[in-house]
Amino acid sequence: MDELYIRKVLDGDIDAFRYFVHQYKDKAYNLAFSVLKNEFDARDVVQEAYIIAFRKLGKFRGKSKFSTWFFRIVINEALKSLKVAGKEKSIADTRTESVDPGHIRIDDTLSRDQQKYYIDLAMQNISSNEALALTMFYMEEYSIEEIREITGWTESNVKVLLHRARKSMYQELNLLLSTEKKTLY
Amino acid sequence: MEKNNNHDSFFRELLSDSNKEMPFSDFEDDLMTEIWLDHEKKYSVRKNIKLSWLFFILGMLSGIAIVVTLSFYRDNQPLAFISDNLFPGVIIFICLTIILFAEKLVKISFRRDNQL
Repeated sequence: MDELYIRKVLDGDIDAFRYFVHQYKDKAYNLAFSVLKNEFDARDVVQEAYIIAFRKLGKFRGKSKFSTWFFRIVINEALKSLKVAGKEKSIADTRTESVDPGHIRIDDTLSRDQQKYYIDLAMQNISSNEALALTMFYMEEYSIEEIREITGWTESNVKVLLHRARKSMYQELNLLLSTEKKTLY
Repeated sequence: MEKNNNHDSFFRELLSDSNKEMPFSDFEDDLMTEIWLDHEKKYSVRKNIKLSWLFFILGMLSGIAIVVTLSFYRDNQPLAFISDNLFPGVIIFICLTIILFAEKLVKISFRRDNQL
C-alpha cells in the first residue's frame, strides 16, 4: 500500500501524502514524545519529520519499509531537537540497586487513570534513550532487529538500554508509589 | 530466560495503556498546508531560476550588442571620449558581471532540491 502512495506523491499527487500522515502520525508522535517528553515539542518534531520525508521521498529506495525509514527521521529529528534544547539526560547508569518485578506491585486500589498517571510520570523521569527503547519494544512491539534498524544502535546497545530502562522504571515506580503511600497515610 | 519473559510480560501489561496518540486534531490539516506551501515554494523557486537564466542570456546579448555598437562608433565624435577612455572599462565591467551572475546562477540551478 505504501509503495502505491509513494508512487502517487512522486507523480505529483501531493494530497496522496495525507495517507502517510494519517497512517503514521500517532506512532511518530508516541516515539517523539518518549524522547522529548513534551507534547508541543513532539508535535513540532513530527511535523518537521513529515516535511523532510516529503522532500526526500524521491530518494527513498525501498530497501526498508517506509515506516522504518520515516521513524528513523522522526527519531533523528527528536534527538537533534533534544540536543539543541540541551535537555539531553545522560544515559550513564548511576543506579546499581537491582529491583525485581516481584518487588514492585501497583496497588490494585489505584484506579486505571492513577496507574496510567504514575507510569507516565515514571516514563518522564527516565532518560530519553531509555524511554525510547521501552516505547519501541513494549508499546510499539518492535523486535530488537527492527529497533536496531530504526535507531542505528547496535544489537547489544539495544539490549543494554532495555535492561537499564526496565531497571530505571522499577526504581522510578517504587519511588513514586512509596511517596504516594506516605502522602496517603 | 524465564526471568526475561517475566519482565517482558510485566512491562507489556504495564505500558499497554500508555500509548500516546496525536492530541492535536488539526495536525493533519496544518501539516498538509505546510506541505503544499513547501511544494509551491519549491515550484516557484524553480520558475524563478528559469526566468533568471532567460534574463541573464537576454542581458548578455544586450551587453554584446552595446559593445558592438560602441565599437562601431569608435572613431566618430562625440563618442571618441567613450572609445578612448571608457571602452576597456565597459568591457571589463560586462565581463565581470557575466562571470559573477553566471557563477551564482549555476550554483542555484544545481543546488540539491532539499536545499531549495
